[in-house]
Amino acid sequence: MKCTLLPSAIGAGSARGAAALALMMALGPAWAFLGGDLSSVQTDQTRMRASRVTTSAAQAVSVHDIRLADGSSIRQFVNAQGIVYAVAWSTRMKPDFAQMLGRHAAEFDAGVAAKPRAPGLQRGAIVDRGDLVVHSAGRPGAFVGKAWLKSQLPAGVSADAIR
Amino acid sequence: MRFAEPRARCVRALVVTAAAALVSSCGGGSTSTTTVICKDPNVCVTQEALQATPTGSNTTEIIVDSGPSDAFALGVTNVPYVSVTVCSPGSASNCTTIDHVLLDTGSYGLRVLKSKVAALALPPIGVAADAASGTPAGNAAECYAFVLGAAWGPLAVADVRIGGELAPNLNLQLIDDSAAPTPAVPQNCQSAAQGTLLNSVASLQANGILGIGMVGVDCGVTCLTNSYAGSYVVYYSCPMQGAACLPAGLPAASQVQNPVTRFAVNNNGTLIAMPALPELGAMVAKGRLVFGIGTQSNNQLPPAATMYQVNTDPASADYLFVAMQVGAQSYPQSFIDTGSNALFFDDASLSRVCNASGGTQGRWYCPASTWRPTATLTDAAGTQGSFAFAVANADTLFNAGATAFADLGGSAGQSTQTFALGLPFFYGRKVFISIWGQALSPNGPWYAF
Repeated sequence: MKCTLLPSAIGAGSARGAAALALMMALGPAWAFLGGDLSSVQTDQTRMRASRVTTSAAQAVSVHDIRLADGSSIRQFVNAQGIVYAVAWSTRMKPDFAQMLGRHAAEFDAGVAAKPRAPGLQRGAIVDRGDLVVHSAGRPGAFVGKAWLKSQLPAGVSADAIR
Repeated sequence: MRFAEPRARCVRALVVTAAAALVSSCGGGSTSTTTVICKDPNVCVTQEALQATPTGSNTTEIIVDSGPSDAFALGVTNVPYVSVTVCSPGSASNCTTIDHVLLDTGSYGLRVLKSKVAALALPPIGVAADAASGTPAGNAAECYAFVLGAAWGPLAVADVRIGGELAPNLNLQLIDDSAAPTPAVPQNCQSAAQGTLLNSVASLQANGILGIGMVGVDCGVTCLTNSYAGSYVVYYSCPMQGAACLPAGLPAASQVQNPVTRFAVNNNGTLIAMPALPELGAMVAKGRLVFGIGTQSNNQLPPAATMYQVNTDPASADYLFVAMQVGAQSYPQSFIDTGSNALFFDDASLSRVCNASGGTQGRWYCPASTWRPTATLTDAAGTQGSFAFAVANADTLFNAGATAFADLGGSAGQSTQTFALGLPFFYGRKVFISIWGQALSPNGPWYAF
């Protein structure tokens, strides 16, 4: 399934595709999230009215790439047990971690809060806390990163493969 | 972590005037006296490094110093600032000049603390009701989220002057820095901020942010409707009667605008010229921000410069990035950014055992001797170029007590694919950054240096 690609950061002339995304705020709260199961991936696609491309790789891992009209991509990595063990994103604006990380979002926030403030605008945040690892980077227009659960990472799968 | 020793600790008893005649390399011919400040006879930093040119009405000064006066204790390091003058639309007298606005090539649009412009009573930006999407009529407000932190506050319209340039009727954000923000910060924005609302001089280490990056508006297509699927809400409509703000889509003409795009002539990009720095840095560094590319004699692209076009495919994970290679390490998601105060990248072979980092795996790199690699940059069209950079021991730098460093490096996190070419990259260079969609050949977002 091919999604519609739009030049997202310059705004003008791109209204048509984006308009198709209207009316979604009222839908239910079920989101695929880190640690969630495969059925929630379908819920996500429906909720976001996004396209989805599924690919299977070694170790019985499948990757579900949720594509939004602005080109944003949220990739969900599902292990043989059907658990979303990792997510990776490349989004135009800051991704909603409460949605994407589920109950692990609070852990991410706590990890971020525990880090000392550095000068300038922070364009990278790394949290490795308990079972959760998050790498978040980028700037408006181009946010990138990944998160995974150490306990759910399939044997033989490197964190480098999450991208 | 306190990354930097406060400058006040620098022993000033040993102030040595070296009387070195510095002739500007840019043809300006200015001569200045360089004063060095020594903590001890072996640790001296330059008092002030100066880039006097280019000059002209399409330029303004960039200063890297200890920050706004009320932020002195914050340990500001390597943050570039400019001054902007904000006026009521159409007025040349109802104005206020705001110093220490953070110059950011990694964002788009002007955001200033609301308290700094309270006397101007700037007009808001209205949002029409849209029953289909559930948007109420109201005034526009914004939650602008960075990787860490988010800025909340209303949109407004102002005439903005920077150097000799005027951006009339510019849409900007007023960062609500009052104790009880009005309208209140939505829960979704609190989540986006992840505990760090950028709502004060202390949290911003600045009086505002001047975003002059490579696109013309601060959100674009994502914000044309109020769905915000997968991301935090950016724009809101806040009803006048005080009801809660609700997510809103804004047409591009109502979104916060890159001020450069509103200038009459010099509106297609910027040139940032910063002085070279000695290895231990400088207490103050002054450079120039030049508006326009190829529009005046002072902003012509040098024949020797290499142009790097960033990825413009929004379906690509590398959208708005260029690829960088250092030795065996690849960083496909790299960018040039004055808003990052150091070179941020991951290299497991570099020591992060620093006192400044407060641990063995801290933020900063502390190689035993200064690391001087060569990097290769590859753009979206396959153009390649290389350049040298340096990473010195952060403890050595911070102990010397300077504010501006050309060789400060920090970790971006293990296996991260991003190399943020932060402010250290700019020293000793002239860096051009185009703005996508503006009149320019070739059109598109690119860097050149």
